[in-house]
Amino acid sequence: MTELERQHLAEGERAGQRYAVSLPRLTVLGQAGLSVGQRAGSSLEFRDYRDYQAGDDLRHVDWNAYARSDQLSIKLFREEVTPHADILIDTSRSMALEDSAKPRATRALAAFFAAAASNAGYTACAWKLAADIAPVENGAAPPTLWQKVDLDYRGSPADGFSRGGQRWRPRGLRIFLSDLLWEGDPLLVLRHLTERASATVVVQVLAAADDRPPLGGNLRLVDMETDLVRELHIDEAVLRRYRDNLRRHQDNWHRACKQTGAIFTVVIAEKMLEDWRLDDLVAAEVLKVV
Amino acid sequence: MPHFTYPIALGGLIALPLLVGIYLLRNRYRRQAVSSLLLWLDPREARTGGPRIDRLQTPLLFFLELLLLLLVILAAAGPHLPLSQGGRPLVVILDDSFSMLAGEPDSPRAAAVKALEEELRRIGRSSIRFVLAGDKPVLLGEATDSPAAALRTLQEWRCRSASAAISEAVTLASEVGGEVAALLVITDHAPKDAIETGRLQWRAFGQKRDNWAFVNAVRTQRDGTDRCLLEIANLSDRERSTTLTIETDGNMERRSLKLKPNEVHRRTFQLKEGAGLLRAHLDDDELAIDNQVSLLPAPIRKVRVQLSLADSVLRTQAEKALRATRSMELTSDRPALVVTDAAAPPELTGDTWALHLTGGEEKAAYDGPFVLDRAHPLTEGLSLQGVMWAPGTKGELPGSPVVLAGNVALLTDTEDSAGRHLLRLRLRHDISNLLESPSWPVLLANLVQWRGGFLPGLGRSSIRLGEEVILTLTNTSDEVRLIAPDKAERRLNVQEGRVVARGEQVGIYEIRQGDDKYPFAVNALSGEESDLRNADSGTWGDWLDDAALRLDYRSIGWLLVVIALGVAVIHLLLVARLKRSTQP
Repeated sequence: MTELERQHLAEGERAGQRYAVSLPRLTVLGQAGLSVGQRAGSSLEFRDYRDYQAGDDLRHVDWNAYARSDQLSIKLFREEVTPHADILIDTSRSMALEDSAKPRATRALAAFFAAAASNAGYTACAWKLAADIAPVENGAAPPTLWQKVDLDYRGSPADGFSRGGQRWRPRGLRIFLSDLLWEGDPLLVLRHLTERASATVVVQVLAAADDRPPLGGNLRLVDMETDLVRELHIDEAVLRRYRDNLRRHQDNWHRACKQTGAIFTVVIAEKMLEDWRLDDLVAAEVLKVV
Repeated sequence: MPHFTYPIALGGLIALPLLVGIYLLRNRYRRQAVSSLLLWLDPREARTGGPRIDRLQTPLLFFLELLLLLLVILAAAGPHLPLSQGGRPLVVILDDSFSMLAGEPDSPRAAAVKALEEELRRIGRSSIRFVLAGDKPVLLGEATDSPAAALRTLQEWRCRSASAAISEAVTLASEVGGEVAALLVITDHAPKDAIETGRLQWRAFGQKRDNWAFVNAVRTQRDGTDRCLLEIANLSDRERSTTLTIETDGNMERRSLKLKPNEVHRRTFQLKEGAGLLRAHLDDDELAIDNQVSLLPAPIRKVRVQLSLADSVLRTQAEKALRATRSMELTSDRPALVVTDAAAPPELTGDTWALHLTGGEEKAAYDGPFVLDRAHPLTEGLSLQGVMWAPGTKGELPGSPVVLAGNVALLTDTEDSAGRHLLRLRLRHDISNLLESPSWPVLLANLVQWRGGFLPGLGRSSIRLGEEVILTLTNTSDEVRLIAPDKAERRLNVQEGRVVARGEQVGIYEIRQGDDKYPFAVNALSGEESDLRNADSGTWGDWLDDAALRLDYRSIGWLLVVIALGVAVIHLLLVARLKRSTQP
């Protein structure tokens, strides 16, 4: 890692000191974990009743209620969560977009979440998403000690998801940092991402140029990941079409996140680095100011 | 090649790079890295094939505009294309001098024939004819409109003249071709004067080369001695060597020559009495025709002259001048020429000519200007400069005037029905200086030579290429034939007891009449033609004037305008279609 990249991590780590990751109605319960999730699970904290359905664990039948009402009811308990955050970094080349703050923001945001997780008493581990999913070298240590967070993979992170074999901590918090700019069904990725996770946060990191490309006349557009070229005369109509495509793409992810219970948010790199205000994540109760 | 009436309009071609520049500036693509091309693709493209590589596509409109501009500019320049048939008459003047054979087979003649073939096949001509520019211009073959027939005529172009009278040939060609004919000069050197655009085009196919050549060869018989003179020139800008070989009656002499640039080696020698044909030759070089000479013994034809002059001064001066010619003998037996100062002119009998000298008492003397009949053989080389001529009488002098002083005839010539000449000369020598001037021996030498020309036999035995020999016959009844060096044989016409043969090939000719044979040698002796350093190649002059445009070319400007209109319509349609397709 270069000194500059390490400075980016340090910058994010400093900003993360003011925040702590959280889950709604965070409770320290049981032996299995220090936090509980919002979904029904196997913790000792009672949450609700529901009617018995075939296959339910008979140990959770409320026999007292059965005695009173002659109906089989199942006691629902809060899910038990692990206080651990897996921070998944999309290391494709698009995250290192030329002449943008995107690579800086990506590394800094990863360090930010690691610091915020630490503030919340979570352990944290950084992962690189490329052709395979591999832990960042020294990724469980403080961010400034991470090694080789290179954003140079010529492909999409979907490649890594499709290979499977993820070793993320069950019932932990998973934070996925990516520009999400690849073609494919988001559900395919999100199913892997949310499987056995207590909460999943998808942060789309975009450069300002990704969000609002300038009106540039004749441009030879070069794809950062594939080096494919497209020559276009950029006028209002083309920009409008681009923005429509981006909005449609974000809507797809948003919808898929809702379906899988993940939280979806977008950050613009340049804007975020100015003040580190992550209001959307605070509003979604993923972060809280400490 | 098309011709443009207003070539200045082609300056508009600068608009083409301007248009290209405008398009380049408009279509210049700046590199811009993006995270993904995914969002830049049209959703339909994305569904069917995903991202693809698009290279710079110069729009069809650009090419249409480029074509439109080009067509308009070309049309404005007034383009004309040559017609394939029925064009302007063409008269080709062919340099017939032997320098056109230099460097065979890659000679200027061969290159010219090839170029002519292309020229004749390129543009159709209503009439094609040729003029040979030799020592004098001669028409070659008949006029034809067929290029093939014209090319066949070219086979008669042999380049065997010692000089090329091109300007005279151009004059003849102008008369033959008429006002609209295009004149084409084919030669091996550049024109001396600038060629004006319009009628004449001058094409040279020569190539500068070094050459060895005999530039002079003479064999004379004087006082029983056969003397030869050979002049060999190194026509080069560097010192070179060659071998001179002389053969006479089976004897051969070889001599190496090493001459400086432009040096002429003179070799004079005497031959044994009765020696026959002399041949001399040099080593082979670029031009073969001037590397050999043949010299036959000079014919001995002495004019028998009878001097019947009572005046001692006249007699002394006449005898002195006549003896100086060395081609006469004084005799009173069957004289061919009688020179007399008798009171009355002599009666001409047999084949005797006479020069009758008369005097008088008149004191008038003339110092010029004298009027001379330059066509008369007696005036060849005669100047009468500084001569004081007193005729002695002013009366009428019979005969055609040869020399006059004002309206006073000083020398006249009368020819009778038998072809005999009576020359009358009046001179009072005591108050004249004609006898002491150089004009007197010149006058008598011309007379002796003229008379000698009518003696039986050949006038000369060795001539230069293109010259003529005259054979005076004693018997005019038999057929006379000429056998050329290439053994070609033809009949000669006898006129007034004489035949004229022209030397058109280098070598030994023979005139035969019955058993009588009269051989003569022809040699290519012309320093100017042998000097190939003046050769040149190129084209001078242009036929393109109004007549040429009218007769040889067809305007295609209208066609370009029509095509341009069509292109403009297509352009408009495409623009309209493009606008519709880009509207939301």
